[in-house]
Amino acid sequence: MSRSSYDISVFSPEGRLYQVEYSFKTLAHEALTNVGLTGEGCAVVVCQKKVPDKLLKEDSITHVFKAAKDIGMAMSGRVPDCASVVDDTRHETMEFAHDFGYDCDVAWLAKRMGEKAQISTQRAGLRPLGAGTILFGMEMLDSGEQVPRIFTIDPAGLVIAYKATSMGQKDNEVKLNLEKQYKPNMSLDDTIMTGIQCLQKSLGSSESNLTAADLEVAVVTADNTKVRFLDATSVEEYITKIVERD
Amino acid sequence: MASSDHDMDANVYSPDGMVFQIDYACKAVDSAGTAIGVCCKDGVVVGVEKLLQSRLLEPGSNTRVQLIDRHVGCVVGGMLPDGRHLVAKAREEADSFRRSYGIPVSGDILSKRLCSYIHFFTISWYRPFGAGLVMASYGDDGPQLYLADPSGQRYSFNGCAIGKAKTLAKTELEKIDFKTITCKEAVNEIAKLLYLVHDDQKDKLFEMELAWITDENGRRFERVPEAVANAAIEEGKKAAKNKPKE
Repeated sequence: MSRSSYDISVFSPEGRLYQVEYSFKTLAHEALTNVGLTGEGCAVVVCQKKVPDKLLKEDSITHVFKAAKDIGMAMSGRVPDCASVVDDTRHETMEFAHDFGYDCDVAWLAKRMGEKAQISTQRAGLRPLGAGTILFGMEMLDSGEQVPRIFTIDPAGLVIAYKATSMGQKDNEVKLNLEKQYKPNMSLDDTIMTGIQCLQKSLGSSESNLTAADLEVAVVTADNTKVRFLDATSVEEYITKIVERD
Repeated sequence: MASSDHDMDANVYSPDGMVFQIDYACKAVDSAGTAIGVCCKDGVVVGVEKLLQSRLLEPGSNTRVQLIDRHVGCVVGGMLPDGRHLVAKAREEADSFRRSYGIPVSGDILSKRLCSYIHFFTISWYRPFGAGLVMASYGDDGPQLYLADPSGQRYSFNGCAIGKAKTLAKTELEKIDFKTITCKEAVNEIAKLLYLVHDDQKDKLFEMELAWITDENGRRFERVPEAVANAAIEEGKKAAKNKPKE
């Protein structure tokens, strides 16, 4: 293969950056999928959880992190790269709070992390980190209204705001399901259930029997903008409600 | 997957999104002696099958068991020189934490810092470390066992194994009931395991190093006392003799 497929800083004759494209393949590596949705006064992420080794302590496995107390991030891709991005994002929120005296909002943080990710696509010597982020939080408008926000940040630094989206192995399947099932401004309960259901429908038959142990659900709402994780009992209740609904 | 392609640098992705240099670094760890850690209810025990190159080596030299702080220690798997560097770094981090905050660092934070250091060497022109650390700590957060591998991945384990016979060792480790095992029992288990998985044909000479950190010894990372260690080694040798012939 030509040198453009080895070097980040070299375009191919067709104008493609192969190394950047290859870095996208890492998002599916762990065979996990994350879903992010906005609803009426709420932003929700539903993440698939797998414990790859029986000897692992289960509660040490997580793919959802707090960037700040009211901004969360759901990560896909290579675990060490994701850990690095989480640390970096946390550092950015702390630095902002230190420099300006107030907490940054989700949109600013998303753009900032996108800029940082882009650097490694243009600078020789660094490889793009194999980490995709779904950043979620509430944004306060000038009118005082809290609006839910979901952003995806991919390894190339592209930042897009979504009403509902997915990242990971089955992202395309989940997005197709979302297009059919998702409606904006649903209640918190409906948003969570839509997220779980779209994930369930996209998984193969061996994995679609989801229990609370296979999911991590985190929410922010207008009345409590702190990132909260749902406990196993609540998740089980939602799964049961979905089955009853059908 | 042509792995002879795109595998020269840690900052190059293959067309499938793999970073082969990191995988090769993990193989370096897998080609050294087996190291095992068990997290018990009253502490953590670690042991390693230290393969000897020659009979002329002084027993007890070139130790793979390393102390990081009073309450944290580790066993080095893989290339010992790389491992020593990581241990030196871990010691610095533990010391700096004590100076900044006045309390001993927890295994969680120490392993996180070490892993982000290791990760740094996997994204650019540096060669990744060819060593993994099995870190044992016992602080206020209870007994902890972490594995820091060359990719910078860090997981908290009930039982872990790295090195030549890690797959075999892991299968045996899964049989342990981690909720009830005590350190004294774990020492015997580890010694037995190391003898069981040791390949007598290929690596005749080896020394076993055992260390623990328990309630009984005041939560200090120390070598298992000779008497206990020798008893465990005798048990191990018996188990090896009774090993079913393949």
